[in-house]
Amino acid sequence: MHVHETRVAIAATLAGLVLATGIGAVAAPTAPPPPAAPVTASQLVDAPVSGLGLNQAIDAADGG
Amino acid sequence: MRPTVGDVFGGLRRMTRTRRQLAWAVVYAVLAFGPAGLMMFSTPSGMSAFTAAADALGLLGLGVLGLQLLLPARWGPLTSSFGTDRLVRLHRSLAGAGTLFVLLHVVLLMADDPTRLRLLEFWSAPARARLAVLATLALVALSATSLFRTRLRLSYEGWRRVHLVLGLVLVVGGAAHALLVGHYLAAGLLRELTIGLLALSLAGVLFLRVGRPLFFNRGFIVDAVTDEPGGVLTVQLRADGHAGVPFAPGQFAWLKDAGQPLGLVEHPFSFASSAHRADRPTFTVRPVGDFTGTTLRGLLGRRVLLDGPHGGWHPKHPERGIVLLVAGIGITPAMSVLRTLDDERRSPPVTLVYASRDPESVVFAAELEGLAERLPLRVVHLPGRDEHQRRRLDASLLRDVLGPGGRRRDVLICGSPAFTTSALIATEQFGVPGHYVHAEALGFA
Repeated sequence: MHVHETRVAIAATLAGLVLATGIGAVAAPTAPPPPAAPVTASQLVDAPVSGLGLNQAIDAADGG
Repeated sequence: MRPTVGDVFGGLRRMTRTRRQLAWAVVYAVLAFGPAGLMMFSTPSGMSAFTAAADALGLLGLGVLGLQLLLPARWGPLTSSFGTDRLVRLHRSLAGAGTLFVLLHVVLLMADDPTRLRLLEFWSAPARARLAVLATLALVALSATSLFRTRLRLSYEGWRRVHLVLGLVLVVGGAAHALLVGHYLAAGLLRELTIGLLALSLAGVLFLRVGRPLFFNRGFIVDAVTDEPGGVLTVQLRADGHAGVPFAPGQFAWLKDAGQPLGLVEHPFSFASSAHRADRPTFTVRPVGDFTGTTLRGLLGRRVLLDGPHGGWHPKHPERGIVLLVAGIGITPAMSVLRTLDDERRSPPVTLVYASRDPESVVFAAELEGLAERLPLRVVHLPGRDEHQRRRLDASLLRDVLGPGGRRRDVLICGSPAFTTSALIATEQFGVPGHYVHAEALGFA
């Protein structure tokens, strides 16, 4: 009895469940990026850094 | 010039109706699912997948249940596309979808973070959580009172009051909860859409309960209330200061005491009179409850409001012949068809299969005999109680009565839900295409 309306309700239910699942998947946090390799002083020297900040940058990279 | 059979039954062709139904389905999908779809593009940072899915389900539930207030609002463009009875059936079916979304919303939120269970401690919880609890309880009560109305011994009028109040608590409480929680609805388009949806739903209720009775329904005077053979009453109306409300055979209207236009006491009845007498419509009813048993008699001489016509039968090829399969008081729309054809003085072949409990409960027996003399009408009575004469409405009976050519005739079915189901099965097994068959189960509202 009234198969058509029941089908409409089932279709609406399935569409809603799929939509909610999709929104959950979009919101799911992605895997964190791998940690960056430690920066060495030589890399920083090679980098186009100039001026008075150079020594401070080298100290920071060396843990100073 | 007098309208022809085709004119009287309405000019809506199948394709037109199908296209309009499709357009409304798209509008519904956009309103109910669109806001949740927009959530794809605005996920707040730091939200878990379960909470995001739960929020989506909550918004979907709010959309579907909010639109529930619009479906039965008897709004012309909608009812002319689907029919009021079908909209009421959709209202019932889609309630299940909305309820499931809301329940999953609650379950997922609690499963994702069980500390949220503390939000159920009503008196210490914040306002947003209290509103959610109220709305959810209203939803549970709505479902219970609708599914178990008879067992709970709720009168029809009492149930309508409860249904309206609980529906408003559910939708307003749910929307307020969603807006206070924030998350996706903290600001922007989604918030505005949710407020707009709430306003639309409330407008539907206002239109149905205030706008229609005060500004759209037409007034009629109850000229006569007559007892008929078969234990039924015929209510004769007269248009009060207007030319009447045009209707087609197979349509129905709600009747309400004009002295209480904003009350919820009203009942739907099929037109029993000829469509050519719109200023003097009649309704024949079987007295079974307070309204049909006592209230209708008390309305004699008083003014009533007629909300209608609603529903409608749109035969595809009435010129080929018409088949009327009715039981009990379901004879009334069939009488409207026959009286209309009688007024037109021309008619296609009509076969009336009329099931009744016993010969004494046959309504309009004498008038049917007269109509059978004037019209190409064949009346087949199916007495229900006499086991010796009893014959069921099934495919073999239709084959015997209609012959093989009867498969391409328009069929109108009207009776109790059980009879309607049997008749639908019979026509299907006999081989009548579904689009030739129109069924009205009594008591749908």
